[in-house]
Amino acid sequence: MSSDGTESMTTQDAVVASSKRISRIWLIPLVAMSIGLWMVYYQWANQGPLIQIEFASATGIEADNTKIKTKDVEIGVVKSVSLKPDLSGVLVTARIQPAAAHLLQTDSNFWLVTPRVSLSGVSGLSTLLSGPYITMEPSNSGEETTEFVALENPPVTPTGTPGLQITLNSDDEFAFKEGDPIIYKGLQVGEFEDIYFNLEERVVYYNAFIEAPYHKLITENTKFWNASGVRFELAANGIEVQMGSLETILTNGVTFGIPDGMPAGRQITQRAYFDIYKDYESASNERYKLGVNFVVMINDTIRGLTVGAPVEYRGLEIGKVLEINLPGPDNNRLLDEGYAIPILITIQPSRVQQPDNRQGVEFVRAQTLRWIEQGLRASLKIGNILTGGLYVDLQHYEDVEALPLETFLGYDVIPTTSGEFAQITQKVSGVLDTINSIPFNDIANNTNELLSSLNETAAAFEQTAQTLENLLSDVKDQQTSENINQTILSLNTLLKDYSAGSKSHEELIDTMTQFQSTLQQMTPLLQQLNQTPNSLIFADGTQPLVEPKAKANTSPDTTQDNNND
Amino acid sequence: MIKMTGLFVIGLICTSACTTQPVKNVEYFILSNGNASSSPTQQQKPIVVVNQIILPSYLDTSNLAMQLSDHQIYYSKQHFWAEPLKTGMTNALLEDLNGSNSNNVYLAKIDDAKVESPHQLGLHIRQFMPTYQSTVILNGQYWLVGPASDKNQAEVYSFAYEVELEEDGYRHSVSKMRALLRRLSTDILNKVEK
Repeated sequence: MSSDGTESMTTQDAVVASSKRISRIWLIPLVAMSIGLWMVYYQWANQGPLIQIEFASATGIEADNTKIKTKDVEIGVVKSVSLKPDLSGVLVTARIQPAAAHLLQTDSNFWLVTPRVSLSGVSGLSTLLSGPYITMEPSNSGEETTEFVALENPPVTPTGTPGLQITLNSDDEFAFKEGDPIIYKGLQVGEFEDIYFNLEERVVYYNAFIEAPYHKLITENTKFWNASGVRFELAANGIEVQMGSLETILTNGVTFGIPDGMPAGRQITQRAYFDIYKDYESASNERYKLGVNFVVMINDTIRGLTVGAPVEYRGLEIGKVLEINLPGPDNNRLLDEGYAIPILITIQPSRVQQPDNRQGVEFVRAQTLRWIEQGLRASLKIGNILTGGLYVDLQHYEDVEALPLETFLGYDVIPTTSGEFAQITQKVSGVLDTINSIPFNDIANNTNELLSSLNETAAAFEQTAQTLENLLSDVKDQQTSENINQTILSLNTLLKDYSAGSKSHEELIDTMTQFQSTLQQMTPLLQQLNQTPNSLIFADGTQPLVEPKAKANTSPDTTQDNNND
Repeated sequence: MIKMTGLFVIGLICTSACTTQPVKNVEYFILSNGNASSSPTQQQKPIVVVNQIILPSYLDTSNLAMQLSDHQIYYSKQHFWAEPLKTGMTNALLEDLNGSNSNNVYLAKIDDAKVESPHQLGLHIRQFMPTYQSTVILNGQYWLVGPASDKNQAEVYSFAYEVELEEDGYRHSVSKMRALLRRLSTDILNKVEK
């Protein structure tokens, strides 16, 4: 049919024209691509900075898993973990959210939070379930940076905590560690933050933080001293026990204060340096800065004398022992006879109410030298019998010889007297010598002679007394004896009258016999009266009679007394 | 006068009502009858001193005692010893011991007599009285101290005699008691003479 139509109609040729237009359909991918690009750009443009944190090890850190937090808010995530080329640590690359980018300052600190158990406490327990995370302590100071070195341990004091940073130093044997407490009157007012050991000075420096408001207690004259554990001190004054809080008994710690009698001084507002003394005494004594040194040459034993032992003047502590057996040119003569041990002591002007300056020093030196000329002598005395601790005692002695002033290694020498024990020994020796010098033999001979004389005297006296007694008895006893003899004669006569065979005796016996006989005769009557008192008046015929019976009547019956037998 | 006589008679009658009952007939006994058959010869015989007899306190009384039961004693109110029983027993014994058969002279120890002899006889009487069982008993101990004996040693003999009563009354009992003492002295003589 179409062929029929072509024949009848004019065939028109197709006009083929090349089209230059791009299809609009391509707009769709273009838009999509644009959106995609925009999204990529947006993502790129809005992602936070990549930072690099150096850790000692990557314990628990996982890429794309370990979070970075500050104040428990997530601000980033670890992207990769790699070793440092020199294997000295681990480089952790993390992406920080843009909003937190401004916190990335040089003073910002990073550390890994893991469970920690220490004497100071327990922390990071929440990471047992959630896994470790990195905490950033932001800082608003410093310059922006993307490279950080993580702290090995969390900082003790969070940044921004009100208080005072101080640096303590100690060259003693005790050591502190981070987190050890700083105690004031039993309260923990701060703690040690970090430790630095200066190799050149061989001194340990501790950065410590005193919390507000206790930082106001830190003044110019504040002294720090060790308060670790329990401290027993056997000193010249006796046994002393010191202890801080319960925490310092278990760990270490320092305490501080202003020694008695010292002004507080101005408050410290910026980081300052303080020494840590071994105890309060040391800290307190530190205020006596200047001293006049003298040497005391001791001939006795110095066992019990320690460095720091007090130097007392009439019971008042005016200084201390600085050094025992001071090295000098005579040290190699220690075994020589009469070697005196040099003891270096110092007399501190502040302790004797003198200014702690050069004028005070000069005054004390001049005064001491004048006193030495007037009889000031040093001696070792026992401060405590229990511990045997010695101290140096300065006393005035009136009966001492004036000695020329000597020096030892440039120090003035205070002359010495013997110690207490030596004095006692000397006195005992003196007493023994005195006793030995007593002429006992002569005394005994004299005593014997005296006793002999006494014996002779006593014999003569006895003879005299005998003579006197005889004389007296002759005078006295003549009359007395006559009287006695007369009395005895009368007594004999009397006794003869009553002696056996005499008439009086026989009469007496007869009388007594008659009396006995009468009594016997009266016995029945008395017995009857005793039994029946009225029997003399009233007859009683019913009285039974008991008498033995013949064998035929065996029972002793009672019968009436009618036949009298 | 008649009145006065009447009053006197009445008073006499009243007074007679108060007359005392005469003390019942009291009998006194002695153990030794003095019939000692000692020989009046002047022969020299060894002396045996008879020490003081030790009597129980319940017998050391003037009343004659009688045992009514095992643990009961009766003291007669009408029968008395004419002399202390201790003396009577000593005398009776001396009568018997110093009989004609004796080769010794037995003397009672009297403090003021100062009779000294190495031979001594001691007696300790425990019972010596009539009993309710119509017997008279005598028992105790006697001891002999000879010259050879130590002061702390002695020959000790116990004795216990009993004889039946054939008549009633204390008089018969006393005669029986005397007979028992005779038996005792005979035994002592046998021991001593041996």
